[in-house]
Amino acid sequence: MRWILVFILALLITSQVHTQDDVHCQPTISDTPLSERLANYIFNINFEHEQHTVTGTEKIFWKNNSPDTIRYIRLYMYLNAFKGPESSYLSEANMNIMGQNLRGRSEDDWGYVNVTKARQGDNVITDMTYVQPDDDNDQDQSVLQISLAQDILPGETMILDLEFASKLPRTIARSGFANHDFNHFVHWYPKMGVYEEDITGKWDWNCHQFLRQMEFYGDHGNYDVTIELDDQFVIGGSGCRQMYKEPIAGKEGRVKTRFIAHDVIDFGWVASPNLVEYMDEWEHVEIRLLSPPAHASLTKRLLDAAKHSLQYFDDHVGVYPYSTLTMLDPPLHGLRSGFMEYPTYITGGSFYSFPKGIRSMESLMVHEFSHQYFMQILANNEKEDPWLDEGFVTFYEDCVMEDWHGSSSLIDLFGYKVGNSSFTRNEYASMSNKRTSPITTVGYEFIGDYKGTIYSKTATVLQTLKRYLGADQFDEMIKGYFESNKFTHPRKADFISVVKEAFAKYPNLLSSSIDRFLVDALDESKIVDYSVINVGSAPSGDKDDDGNQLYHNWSNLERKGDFIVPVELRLYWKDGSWTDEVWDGVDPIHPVYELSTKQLQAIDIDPERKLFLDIDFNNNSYTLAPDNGGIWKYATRSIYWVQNIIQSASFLM
Amino acid sequence: MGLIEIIKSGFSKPRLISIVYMIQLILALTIGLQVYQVFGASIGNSLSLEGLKEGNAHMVINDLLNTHGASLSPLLGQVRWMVIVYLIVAAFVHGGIWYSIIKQYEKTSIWVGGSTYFLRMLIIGIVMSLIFIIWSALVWGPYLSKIQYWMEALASEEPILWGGIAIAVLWSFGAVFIFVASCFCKIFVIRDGIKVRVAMWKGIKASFKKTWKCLPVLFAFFMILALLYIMHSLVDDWTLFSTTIGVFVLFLIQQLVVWIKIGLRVSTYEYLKGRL
Ligand SMILES: [Zn+2]
Repeated sequence: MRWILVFILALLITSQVHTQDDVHCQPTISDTPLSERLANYIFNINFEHEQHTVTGTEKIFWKNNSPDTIRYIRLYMYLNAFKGPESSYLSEANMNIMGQNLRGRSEDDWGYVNVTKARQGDNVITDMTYVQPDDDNDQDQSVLQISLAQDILPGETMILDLEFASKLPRTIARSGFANHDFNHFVHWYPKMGVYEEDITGKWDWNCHQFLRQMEFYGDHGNYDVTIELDDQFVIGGSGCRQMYKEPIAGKEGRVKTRFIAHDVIDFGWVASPNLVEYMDEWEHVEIRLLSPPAHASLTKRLLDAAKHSLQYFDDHVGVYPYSTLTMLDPPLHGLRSGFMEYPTYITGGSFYSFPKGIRSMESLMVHEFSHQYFMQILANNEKEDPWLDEGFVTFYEDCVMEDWHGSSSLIDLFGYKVGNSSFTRNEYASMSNKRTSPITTVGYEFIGDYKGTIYSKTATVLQTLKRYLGADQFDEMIKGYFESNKFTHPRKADFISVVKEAFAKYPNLLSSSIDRFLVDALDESKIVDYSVINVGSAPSGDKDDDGNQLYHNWSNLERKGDFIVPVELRLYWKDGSWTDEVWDGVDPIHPVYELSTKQLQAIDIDPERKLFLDIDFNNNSYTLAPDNGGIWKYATRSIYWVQNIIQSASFLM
Repeated sequence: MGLIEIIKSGFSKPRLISIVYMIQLILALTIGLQVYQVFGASIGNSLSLEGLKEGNAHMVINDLLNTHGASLSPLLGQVRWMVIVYLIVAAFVHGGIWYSIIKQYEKTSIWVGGSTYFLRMLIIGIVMSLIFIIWSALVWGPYLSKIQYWMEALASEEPILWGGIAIAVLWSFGAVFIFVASCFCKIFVIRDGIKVRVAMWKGIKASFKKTWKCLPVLFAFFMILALLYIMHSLVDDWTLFSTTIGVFVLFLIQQLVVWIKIGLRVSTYEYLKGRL
């Protein structure tokens, strides 16, 4: 009986959440849910731009998909990380966030989010406390624990009515206001933590405090957000617009905008009177770019970046399931809100008359777009496995850019050419200490060069996998990973299993050692560096049966790093021909010897540069007939520049 | 005097230009040969050299810097010292150039002029450089110190960019005035044989009076220089120069540019002498 009641109740609740008859904008391409929709929200809020606040109601529908009875919930209250110097986020960073010194801020420059009232059905909840699951800083208020008035049984849906107030800080790490006209609302509302089973099989709240080197983690669900604000504001954000700036009877100068987003893990929005809206489309996707007036000449570049990204992901990863993509190109004083990803809403950054030959603004927009797949659809825990989004996103940023602009995709200016993947590889290869925490280190425990490892080294590992496996086979692998993990929270094991499967299905040089490779690449900080010590060839004094002179041909190869990967060797002969061999890389020194009528001229380890993780490609080869033209080019160029420098410096002498 | 005549007047002293060119070349060669050596010792037998020639060099150069950066970075320190050394050498060289222009142009003029006027040229050079540094600090200091604040306060970078361009123009005007003043000052010292202190004062005064009228010609010279740079950077990118012979041809072009620049400097001096 009780079971039937629960069922009826669940049905009623589901209809309440999902039957939105008045919804006409279509946020996804599907009529049916794409995700489990565990965490759903309805907001009715007032935005007061003078105070940079929103106040209003938040109705949370949260489905307990665990086997446990839930007696309390945990909410992210991340705006409280910017409440003052005592928060864990700011005290850890020593009040310096991305070069921004936060000392000496006025009261108005700090932000907060408060739950002013909580109700579960008719029961008002009073037992709400801030908890610190990660550290013992009792001043940190970034996680709120609410003891429920009624238990939530497995399979049941909790309905929680909150009244809350949020105030933006002067921008810190993307959230905030800039000079009273630009308001960026991210991490602005009480948001459900994730109740999940960890890798040991234990169910609990995964709701970390806001700490450094941490991003976000949430369940997929629906957002219905109605915002009342002054009519001079342009507003944009996640999802589609159900209603845009409709006048409110009896409220002169105030309008309402309503956004609907389905199957997303978060909701972000921006409001400013000084943004211009540019529209474009790609297949089923309506692209909206919000840009400051001064950036009018840059809009095509950013819209093109979006369209190329959409096309590339459609071809190589999977279908973009949403009907909208909103991009923000922030004004100068809002630049701290740039370069970030939210579901169907991304922020970039550009400068007035930015040279066309430098494509960093396109590249960064492609990066943020790529997060729609890695972080949003494949919603990995960004706090614990940041490499699963940042590393993959960096890799795809490079793929999209090189597919779009070729090998000089990032910079092509006055003869100076840089490709994205080369740039990324160098971010890793140039790390002064490569023995930092491994890629798979939990984000907030990472020590060392975070960007170089989590972003760039991961991307370089993926590049290596792609080159060994083959481009089409790699695409097939990623498509499989995407399809079987979309709208869930994939973990390392999910990715590892598809890699192993693909390397088994398509045998290649790395297949037999793929298990060891994945451990060494992801869980260790080993270094790959193959080099050629010498090459030689000398007459042996003997002749073959046809009377041709026989030569001793030799070379010694060295594995300088501790990371063992099998590689191909190419032996170039003096007559212009070459032969290929394989070296398993196991012995630190590998001698090559051949008695032949041909003379060995050069040797190249990994001639196709498949092993992108090798930190130095220059020492991969050795030739007895070097072409010094390239060296002369740089030597003469340096002569020329020194001449110019001394001429200019002495103009007053 | 038309622009062509002005240019001709400078290039009518090819021997002088060539001596100055050789001095600069010898200094630059000490760096260039070291670059050749370091590259040769670190990647001289690598097949990656192919990439260097073709201009597809980002990966090659970065791997080189990552692995052998320690042997290249001292060269930057050397360039810094070389600039200082050349500033002193330049006092000699320019004494010689001015002497050849003002007094007499013979085979030995540059050496005679250089040794006679070295100290005076050096003092003028140092004082004018100081004035230039002060001028630069006055013009750029307030602007640069405000940029951080503007980044947070302004909705658009447009005024910062245009403001920067306006300041660059203003700064360039100042630089031209200081340059002309230093030239006039040297002319007074060599032509009239007056004391450096008096000559400097007279030079600055004359510069304020006469630079305005010189601006079109000086601007034309500036444009020729800019054109030379643009042309060089354009041909530098040509795949035509990605062969060993091409690299050599490119070197000749670069050296021609350097030689022409010295000729233009001599022409500018000839012109300014005529204006005083
Ligand atoms: Zn990212």
